[in-house]
Amino acid sequence: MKFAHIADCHLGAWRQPELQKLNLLAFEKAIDTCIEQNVDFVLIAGDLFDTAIPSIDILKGTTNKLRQLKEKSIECFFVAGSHDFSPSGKSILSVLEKAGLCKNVDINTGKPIETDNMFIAGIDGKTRGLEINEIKNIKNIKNQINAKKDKDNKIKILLLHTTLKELLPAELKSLNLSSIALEELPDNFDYYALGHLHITKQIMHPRHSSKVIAYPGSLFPTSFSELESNTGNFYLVEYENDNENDKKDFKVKEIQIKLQEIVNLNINADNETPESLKEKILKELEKKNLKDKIITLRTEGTLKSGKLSDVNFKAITEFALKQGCYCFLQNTSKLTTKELSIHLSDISNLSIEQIEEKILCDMKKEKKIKNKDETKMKLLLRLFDKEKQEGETNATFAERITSKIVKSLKLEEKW
Amino acid sequence: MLIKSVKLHNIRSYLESKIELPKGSVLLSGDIGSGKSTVLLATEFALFGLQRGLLDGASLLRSNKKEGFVELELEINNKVIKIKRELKREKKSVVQGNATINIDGTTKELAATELKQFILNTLNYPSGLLTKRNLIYRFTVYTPQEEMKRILLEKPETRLDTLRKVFDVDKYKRIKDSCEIFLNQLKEKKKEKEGQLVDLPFKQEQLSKKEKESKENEKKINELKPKLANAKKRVKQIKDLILKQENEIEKFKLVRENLAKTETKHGEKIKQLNEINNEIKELEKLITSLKNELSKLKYQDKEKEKIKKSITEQEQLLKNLRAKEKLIEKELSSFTTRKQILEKDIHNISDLKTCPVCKQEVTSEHRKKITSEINQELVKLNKQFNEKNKSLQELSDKLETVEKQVQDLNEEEKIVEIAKIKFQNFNEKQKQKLKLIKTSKQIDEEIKTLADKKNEYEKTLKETKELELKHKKTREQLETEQEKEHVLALDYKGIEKGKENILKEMSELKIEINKKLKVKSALEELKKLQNWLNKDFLFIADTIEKQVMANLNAEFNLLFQKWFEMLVEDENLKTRTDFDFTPSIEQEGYEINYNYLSGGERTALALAYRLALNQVINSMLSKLATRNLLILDEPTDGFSSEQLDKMRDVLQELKAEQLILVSHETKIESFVEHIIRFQKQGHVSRVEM
Repeated sequence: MKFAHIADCHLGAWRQPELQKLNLLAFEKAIDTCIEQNVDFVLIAGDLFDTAIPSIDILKGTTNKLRQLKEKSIECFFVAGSHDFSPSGKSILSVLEKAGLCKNVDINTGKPIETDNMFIAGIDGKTRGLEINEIKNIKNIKNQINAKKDKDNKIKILLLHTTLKELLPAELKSLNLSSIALEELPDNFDYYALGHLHITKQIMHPRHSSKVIAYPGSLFPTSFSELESNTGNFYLVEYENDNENDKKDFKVKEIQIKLQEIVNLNINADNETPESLKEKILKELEKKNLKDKIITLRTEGTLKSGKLSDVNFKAITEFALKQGCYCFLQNTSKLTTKELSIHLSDISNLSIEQIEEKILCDMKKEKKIKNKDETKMKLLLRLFDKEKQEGETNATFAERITSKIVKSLKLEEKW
Repeated sequence: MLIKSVKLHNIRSYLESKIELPKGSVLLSGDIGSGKSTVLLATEFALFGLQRGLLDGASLLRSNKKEGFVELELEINNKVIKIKRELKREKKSVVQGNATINIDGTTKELAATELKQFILNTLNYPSGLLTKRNLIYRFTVYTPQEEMKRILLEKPETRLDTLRKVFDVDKYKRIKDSCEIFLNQLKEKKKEKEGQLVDLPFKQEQLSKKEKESKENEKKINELKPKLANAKKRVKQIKDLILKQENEIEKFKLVRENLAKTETKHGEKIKQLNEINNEIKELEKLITSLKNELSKLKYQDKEKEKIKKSITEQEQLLKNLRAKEKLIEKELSSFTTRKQILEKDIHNISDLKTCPVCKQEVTSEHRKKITSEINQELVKLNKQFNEKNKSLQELSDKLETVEKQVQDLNEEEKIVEIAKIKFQNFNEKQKQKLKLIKTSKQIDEEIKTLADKKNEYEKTLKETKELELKHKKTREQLETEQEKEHVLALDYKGIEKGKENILKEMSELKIEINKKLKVKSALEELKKLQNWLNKDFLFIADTIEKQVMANLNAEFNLLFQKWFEMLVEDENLKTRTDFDFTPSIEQEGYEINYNYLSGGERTALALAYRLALNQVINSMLSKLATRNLLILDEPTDGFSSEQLDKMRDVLQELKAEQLILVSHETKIESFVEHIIRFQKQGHVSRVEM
């Protein structure tokens, strides 16, 4: 028996049309591989779509491939994930199911599949890990399974879209996400087709080494951090039932979906000026062959002068696009300037006049201005705060301001 | 400020309606186009009047109506204020009419701008808004639905500029601009002063040169003075000598004059004598010639008388002959005439056939007879004629002879006359000659006398020659010394004049230099001021502005992010603004193009931006009377159902004393305390309270 274990396609996830298109293409390629490999069925462990109601274009592409599976008599079994699940039941998954393109094996909202040689069930993923309690309390499944003998030759597969504690990545551990421990998983299955964590990993059941608990990873990176580190993956699983030895043998093969190459650039902007930063980035880009690649540019650090808007990212993007890149993404969330690094705590909740007063006072303390300059400063701040009146010409306005300043600063003789 | 009621008369889809607005959250509910937003626009009009670019009369006054009004009842600081503004349709536009204000029962009529000023003051809005668009109201209280997203899509500079005005931070831009204007004026003034100072080093150098020149002049004067004095002394000495010599010479002057006169006279006399002698010679020649002539001529008086008598006789003869001639000629003429007549008759008769007198036929024999008779007469006539002719000829000859004789006699008479004259002339010349000879002798005597005198004078003058030579030399010497003195005097004068000029120039230069030094000092001051303005003042103004903007930006950013996270479904979607208040949407830090947002997300972004602005401005301008009022016009355009649910949290969070919502979303009805329903039937809006 051969089957595909796919999860976290997140079709429609990207807002960038190019990435959305790639995302769909990855799914199409995965299905093509399944057809080529002549799998018996395809498992989708949640988050086929990124939302409960995806766009028409995404739907069109997806249904096309599911239809192809159907035409090849390859069945597709799924559970909803945290993204494409709808508490009200208004998810496109139910439409696809009604169209006969796939089957929901959730024990509550769908129906587990039982044939001569397999039993497939699952639990839909929900937001905020609400599926975990459900998983922990699967009584009727256990009963159903217990009713059968363990020694039947059926492969028993459980689809879950959840967080497995043991496989939670280190960087997510601090987030206190709801998770379920291995031990808390229902015992009676041979293959635990997981989804939700975008990692490609499989571990052995602590008590049953032949049982496979696997995350195939996302079919296509669904976030920028994944773009920077991951490729798309799914599993092709071959299963053999060694009755003699009472052993169920799983050969899990990782299939990578590689579409466009990804080039990740990290640029340090410390002590750069807007112009020099732009040049630095362009220099780095020039070194790379950008054609048909996905470029992620992460710029971090503190500019020594100027504003963020002074950095000509538009020119950088245009350059990359001109070099034929497939898609250009930039991250400036950790880019700042010295001007922004003002000690705001000193001046928060102060009015404008109070801020003025404070700044002048600070400058006096730092001996950047003298006492007499402070008086002059305040006077000029007031005197220069003038607008051209209606009907006043530029020349008259200039004359008005000048005569006022000259008089106030007692410059008549010197003028 | 709380809005208590809005009364509309002929405003857009309203004929006559009054809408009571309670405190708390109020939903103006109704289908699209039912007249909900009209209430809000009318409120803004009632408060601030027509505003160019924001609110125009034509968009408010109901079509085909000539007049309309809005009456707004407000509560501000526990006072009830009623404002009424009218609109009138004129030929080409709709204009504001009268405005009245009623405060606690007292009504006053005001001009449109007076009312606006009053409202601005009462609401503690900056008075500069009197002539400008009221962006503070638009950004804190009410933004029409179509404008909500506009601020996000504007160019960063335009947006920042608008926000500066709203936050009243554009004063720093004004300050910087005014400072730049002043710096330009300062620069011009500096240029002017620098222009005045361009020649200062030159003037100083000139002064130094003049001082040096002055010293040299002084030295020259001191050298020249004694030399000139000596020269003058020398000239005086020579002059004295000359005087002495001249006195001496004067004495001999008379002698010289006399000599000169004598010489002149002597010369003249000699010349005269020579002329007379020449004249005498000429006369002698003439006398000799006359004498010769006279000896040839025979002159006698008697001869002359005889000739005269002959002439008379001949002339008488001539006269007689002429008379005869005339007679003969006359006869000849008559003969000729008669002859012509006869010849004519012959001719006529030859052709005549009838007698012209008797009218009888004329025979040829008669003709012949007549012709013959005539011919005979003709012959006779010819004969007579010839005889007469001959006589005439003889007479002519005689006449000729007599005439010649007369002529000859006249010639003779003339000769005699000439001879007489010549003789007279001869006598005269003789007399003349004698006279001249006498004169000649006299002159000769005079010449001799003069010659003697001349000799005497010459003798005397010889003695004075030496003295004159000496005098001449002395004069020459004087000339030389005078020339020298003149040169020295000129030099001295020149140097004196030069000294005077130099001193004058030095004085002028000093004055000029002092003036320029003052200008230089002023220029230094202006430069210092310029540097200070460029370096310190603008830097500090810039720093203050940045600090203020940073402060506002930080506050704004927190609020903006908070509101946005409340309103969007996608947890991964974050937003922030940069220093220019340009919003950016990010997913995991990566920027998302605004166009990739769904309609609901865009509305959420715009609403979050607006709410953040509202709160920042209200906290900054804490005295604004409208800070407890918020009007949201269709703030949920494109919201999903989940997003609409979030609006409940948003409305609770807002905590406005009066929150007026306009929405056609029925879900919102469950979030608010009061609902006012609007309906439109037959182009007229109605309100269900």
